[in-house]
Amino acid sequence: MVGESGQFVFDWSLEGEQKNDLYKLYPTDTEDQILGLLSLKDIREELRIHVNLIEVSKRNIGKVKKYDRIAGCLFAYACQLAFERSYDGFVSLTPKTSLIEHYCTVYGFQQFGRQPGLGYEASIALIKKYL
Amino acid sequence: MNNYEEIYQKLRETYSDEEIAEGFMIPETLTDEEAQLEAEAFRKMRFEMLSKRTDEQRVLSEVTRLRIKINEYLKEGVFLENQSFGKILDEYIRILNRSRKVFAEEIDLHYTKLSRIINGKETPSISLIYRLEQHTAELIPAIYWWKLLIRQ
Repeated sequence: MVGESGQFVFDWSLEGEQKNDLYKLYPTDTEDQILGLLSLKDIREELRIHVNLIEVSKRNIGKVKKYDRIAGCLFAYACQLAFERSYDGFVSLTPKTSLIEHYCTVYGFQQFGRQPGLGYEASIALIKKYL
Repeated sequence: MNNYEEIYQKLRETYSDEEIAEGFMIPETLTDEEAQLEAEAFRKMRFEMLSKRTDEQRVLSEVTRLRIKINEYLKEGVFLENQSFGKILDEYIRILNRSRKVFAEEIDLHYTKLSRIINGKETPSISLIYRLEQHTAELIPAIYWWKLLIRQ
C-alpha cells in the first residue's frame, strides 16, 4: 500500500527486510491515508531506540503541505517507546551530516560524538510538544 | 538496503535542506568499517552514561514510564484489573524501591489502610490523591490518579 500510494520515495519493504520495526502515522478517521513512516531499531543492550529512517508523505512536505509537525510526532513516538522500554527515553540517529544541525535546533538533539541523541530531558520535551 | 545517498541527492533537486530535514530523517551512508567504528564509539559513550546514572535519575525515568503507561491506558475505554488504582500505586512504590511501611509514613497514611487501597478493598480519599501528586513531584498529576479510580 505504501509503494502504490506514490507518496513515498524510499522502498519501505527494504526497511522491513532489515528487521527494523516499522510504524505509520495516519489520521484517526482514515487509516488508508498515511501521513508518515518511521523505521527504528531497538538496541536493547545499550538501552536505546535508534531511528533509522523517517519519511513524511509527499503532500505534507514543502511549502504547500497540508499537515505540519508530522516528523516531530514520529520522533516523539520513538521517545515514548524509549520510556516504555525503560531506556530513559534515549533515542539516537545517524543522519546525513548536512541535516544534523536542523535536528539539533528543531528537536533538541545533542551530539554524542558524531551521532545525535536525545536524553531524558529533551525526550520529555519532545513528547510534551508533539504527543 | 535503500540507496539513501542517491535518493537524498534527488530530493535536493526539489527541496531545500531545511525542507528535507522537516520531511525526512535520512541516514548517512557509511562503509561497513565506518559504521562499525561509529557503533563502537556510541556504545562506549552510552555505557559510560549508564554507569553514571544515579538512583534519582532511574526513579525519575521509571516514574515517567509509569505516567506514559497510565496515559495510554486512560486513552482506552476499558477497565483492566492489572492497571487498577491499587496496582499502579503498588508499581509506583516498587519503582521507589521502598517498603510499603516506609511509603505509608511518607504519605501520612496508616500501613493497613495503604494495603487495603492497593488490594482494592478501600477507596482512597481525595486528599490522598493530592498527596500522591505531590509525592511524584507532579509527574503523575492528581487527575491521572482520579481517572484511574473512576475507571474501576
